Amino acid sequence: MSATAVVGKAVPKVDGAEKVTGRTVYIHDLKIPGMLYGKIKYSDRVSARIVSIDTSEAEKVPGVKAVITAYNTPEIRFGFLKDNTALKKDRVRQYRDEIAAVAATTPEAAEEAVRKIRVEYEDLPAVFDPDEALAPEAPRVHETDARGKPLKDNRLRLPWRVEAGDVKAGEEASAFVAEGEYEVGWVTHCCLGTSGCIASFDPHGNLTMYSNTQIPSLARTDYMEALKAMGLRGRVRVVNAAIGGGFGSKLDTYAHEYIAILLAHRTGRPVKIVFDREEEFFATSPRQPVKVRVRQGCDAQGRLTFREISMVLDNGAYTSWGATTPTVMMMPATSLYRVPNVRFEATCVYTNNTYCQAMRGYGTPQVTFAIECNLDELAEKVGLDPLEMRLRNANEPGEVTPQGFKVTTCGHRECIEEVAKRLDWKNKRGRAGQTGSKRRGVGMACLMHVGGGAKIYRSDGCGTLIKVDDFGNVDVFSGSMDIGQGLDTVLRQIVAETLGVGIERVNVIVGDTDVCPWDVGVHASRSTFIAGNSALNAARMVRDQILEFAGQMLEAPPEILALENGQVVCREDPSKNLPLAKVLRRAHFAKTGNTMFMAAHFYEPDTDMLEGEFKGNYSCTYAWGCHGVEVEVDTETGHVEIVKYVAAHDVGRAINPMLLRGQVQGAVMMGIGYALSEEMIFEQGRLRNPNFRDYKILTAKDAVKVEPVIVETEDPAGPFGAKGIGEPGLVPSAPAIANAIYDAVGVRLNRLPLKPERVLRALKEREAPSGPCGALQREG
Amino acid sequence: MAAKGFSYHRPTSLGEALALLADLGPGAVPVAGATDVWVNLRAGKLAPEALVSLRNVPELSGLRKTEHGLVLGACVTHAEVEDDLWVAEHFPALHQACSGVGSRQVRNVATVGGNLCNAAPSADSAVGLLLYDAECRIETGTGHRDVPLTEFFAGPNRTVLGPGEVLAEIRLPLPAGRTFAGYRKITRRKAVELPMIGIGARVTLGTDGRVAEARIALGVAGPTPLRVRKAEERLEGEPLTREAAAEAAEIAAQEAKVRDSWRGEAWYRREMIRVWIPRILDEAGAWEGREGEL
Amino acid sequence: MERITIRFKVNGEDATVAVAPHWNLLRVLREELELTGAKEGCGAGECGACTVLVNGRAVNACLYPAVEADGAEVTTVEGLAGPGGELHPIQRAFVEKGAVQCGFCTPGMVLSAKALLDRVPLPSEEEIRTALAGNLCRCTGYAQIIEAVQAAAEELSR
Repeated sequence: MSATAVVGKAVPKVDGAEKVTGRTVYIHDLKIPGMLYGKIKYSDRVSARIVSIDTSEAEKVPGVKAVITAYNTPEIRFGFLKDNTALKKDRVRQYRDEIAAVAATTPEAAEEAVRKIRVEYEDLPAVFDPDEALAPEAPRVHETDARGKPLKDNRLRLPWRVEAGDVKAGEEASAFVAEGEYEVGWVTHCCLGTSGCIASFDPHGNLTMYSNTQIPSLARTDYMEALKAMGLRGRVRVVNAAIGGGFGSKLDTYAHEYIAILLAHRTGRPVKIVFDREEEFFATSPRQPVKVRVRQGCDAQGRLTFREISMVLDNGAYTSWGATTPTVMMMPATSLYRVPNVRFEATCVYTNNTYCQAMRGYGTPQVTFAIECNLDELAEKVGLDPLEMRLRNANEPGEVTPQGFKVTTCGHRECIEEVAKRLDWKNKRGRAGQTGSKRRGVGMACLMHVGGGAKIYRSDGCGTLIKVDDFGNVDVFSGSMDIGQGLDTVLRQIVAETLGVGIERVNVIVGDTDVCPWDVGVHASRSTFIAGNSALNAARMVRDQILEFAGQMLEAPPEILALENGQVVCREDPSKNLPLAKVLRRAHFAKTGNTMFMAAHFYEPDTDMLEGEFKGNYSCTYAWGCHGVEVEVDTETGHVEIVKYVAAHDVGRAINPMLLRGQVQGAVMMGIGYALSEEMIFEQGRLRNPNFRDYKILTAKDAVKVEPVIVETEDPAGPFGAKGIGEPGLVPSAPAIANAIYDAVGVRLNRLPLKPERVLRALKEREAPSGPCGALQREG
Repeated sequence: MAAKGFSYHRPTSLGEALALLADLGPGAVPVAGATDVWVNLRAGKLAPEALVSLRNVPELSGLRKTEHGLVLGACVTHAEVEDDLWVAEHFPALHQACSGVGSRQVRNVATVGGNLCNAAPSADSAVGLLLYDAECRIETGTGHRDVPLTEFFAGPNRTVLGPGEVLAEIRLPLPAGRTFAGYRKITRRKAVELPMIGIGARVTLGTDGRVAEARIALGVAGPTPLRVRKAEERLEGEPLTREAAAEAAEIAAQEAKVRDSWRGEAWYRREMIRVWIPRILDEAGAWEGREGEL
Repeated sequence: MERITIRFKVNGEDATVAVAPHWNLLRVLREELELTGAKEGCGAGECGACTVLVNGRAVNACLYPAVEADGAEVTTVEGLAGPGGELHPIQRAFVEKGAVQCGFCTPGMVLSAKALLDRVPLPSEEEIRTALAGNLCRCTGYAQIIEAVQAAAEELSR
């Protein structure tokens, strides 16, 4: 590994001091003179025709400046299939449908006005189960598509299918086949800072959106389309306040943002809409529930021969970018472990449930739960230790997977071995002779994720501008964003390293589309890799400019010069070394040919956007990992306690080990919540638990100290060898825990969360398989 | 923001508080730590004409320990109980119940009396107090009356407090004899939870080594926190054996009026009663070093 | 609307605010005094993002009636750093141990930690977890926060 000054160091997050002193400004804290407060009236019905909307009483509330509905505003269509509108006309399809909105001088007035809006409905049939929604006689959630073309059923017209090799031949060559159905429900991001925005028009009709989006550039495009729909020709600027958590929740634009735009335009004043916690739960889009069917087989030695996965996703009533998650689910489906023959098919179905979106992992947690639980079942059929099963099939550097992914660096095997070693797998697994009500077991699961961007959009690029002042201070304008993960710090480290200056010299500016270049967004664990490469390339260009000039000053070829410790260093003659600032000023204030050093670079990874057959290479490199967990299951209560948790990740190279650990630890806790405690409970489309008391994200008292194992494979394509790490940490948690529960007590649970009731029920049903609840029948 | 339109009063003596409540009439709601009241105001479930804050009434504060037992001012906070080592030693089930409520921030303001007056079926402290035969002193404005906690609850979120009345004190006699007690709330995570089912047990042995007093109390097992007398009777007068505890637990499980809801399934709540009553006694040391005696 | 004038100390300074009976302390701090360090994360006392100290005890400002702040000493996150702006040892430990990500929970988390360390100078890990359990964090998974509080406790006890 090359010697570095700041890359690889545990540099504290650069905005840490601001955050611990409470000075950071989130959208909640931002006020603009003249600002009004917007509030949304949501549907009272899950599926109905809107007969009438009476806003007359709302308009009379003192302080109210505007009440809008779909009937007095232009239609703004949005979403991946443009099947959603900012305000609903004629028809509601889910409880969170926006029917009207108010702008008022105080939040209280806006709330009061919303309460006074009267809507008359005519109920329509609704459908909540995706399988039922696929039946021919099911009520249609949408009668037409966005263009008005009739839809004959609730199936989304999305071609999520890939096949490679010969699955039939693979199956015929199999000595063992395991088959299973797995089910995961809704979970949601639970950003501590709720969603919100402020829309503000200037007198020329230019819009500034103060936002907390994860996709400033794409959001800008979306808002421009909205202005067009409103008949406006203004420019759009997106300015981000600090973001109180992202996790994929802000990867799309939402109705409340368009409503703020409509209200701001109507009133001629800035309008702020910030969600309260209940809205954050019911009016933002959760991770999709999925039912997955897996079949996979292997030969007599346990080498995988084929894998077939089909799934049904509950899309909800409208379609967000989250509907593309199957294009990422395909990746582990076809390429986690070496499987020659694969088939994957995903069906997204409209229902009258809340519509879904992306969440950390982008589909891979769902499909990995199915694959990795099923792999343990297959190993058992073969009679192999699941560890051995995994080692026999682990991915290797240099392979091209059946779907066409080019595996470059790959620490898969090493991650598995590290987990086995640290968990004392050989001794801990299959412990015989356990007595008493508490039984221990170990389980593991692996992951594969995009580690070098993901070309899901037409461009997976990111731009960076760098300028240097007369004193060696560097401004870096990146298209990417910090959402708490530490991009601000990582970019500083990369640029400081390249320009040989201290990180305190480097200032990173993000989150303003007027100033910062384009970037596709903070998602797909791509920012360190893509924005990092972009910044690295721009910094190299600046470095080369400086060295070129310094070479002329020193009469030395630039090849023997370098930037280190705030100096231009001459490798062959240290007496020629010059302070960087001196070189910079000499260039700027020269008698002739004055120059300052600056550069811009747009980095577009050399990858394929998958369409049609969905074959190709959509990431520059792939992230690998393995989690191992030891659990203690209380056989009388079904409670699962995590005793030890090891998370091994191939991260390429850790640019900042402390922030990296924070990503892994935080993701694992989110993964443990997914596995054990979190569930959104919908009844007939209505969310029953829109609060932190009943939606159970884990607390400090529940926190599991994760033992992180950083496997460095130094990816040649990554900045200083780095790969992405934002999402991988939560991908294999649930299957690792489910597999450990099986090892401890011998029951397989195919449905998340693995809550105590489910574990205990499974144990009871095994004891007394007769009744629907076995031994529990005695209660009558 | 909470619903508006009410006045807010801060009396500084019990007499003043009672007079205010009498003057303001039935539209006035007494409030202590406000953690429940404020949430209900915000949700629009409560629209009082006036709030009468009892926070600054000295007669309602303080935790008094005597040789006969414990007297809790109604406005003693859960954190005061949590931080009190004497309570932890002599009334461990109450200590466990109060220490597990909400978060430290909530326990710092939420009062034990407020928890009782809110009368939620899930009230942790109520189960803890039921185990110790707590008695409620109610100030009526013209005098006071004492009501056993078993008779204090009138239904979900309802008590026997009449208009203008204030719960002033909760009195707990010290159990006479060797006692094993504990409280367990069944929750999905380890903090910031309401119990899916709350389970408390106390056994006090007489000089003859037999069970002199048994108390089994449950939360979320009926319209109010309640005692399960049949289960208690199974234990009383007998040696404390594991078999007896298991049978008492079975009786309690059968007697509990648990329900299916999206927060939890009835069978599981019942099953936890079965499992945890013996465990609570076990964890309290009921059989420690006594296996030979049995 | 009826207003009640309350007088109290915020971060050592006198404050006088005319409040409506239905206001909570969080509104007074954020809207009237522009101390926006305390956040509203849930408005129901379930997340701890609005944690402040009232007479040294951690409370959820969203459930604290503003009227009841009359006569109290309130500490917000803005009141922790020293006069020259140097960070309080708890704040410094949060930065240095990687306990801060998105930062929305951080002010409340820091104040819960302060209330604990003022009461229990060298708490056990379990005591730290108990004290912080009412402060939800979705980013960090808590481990580095717990370590930061341990480090701060050691430094403050030296």
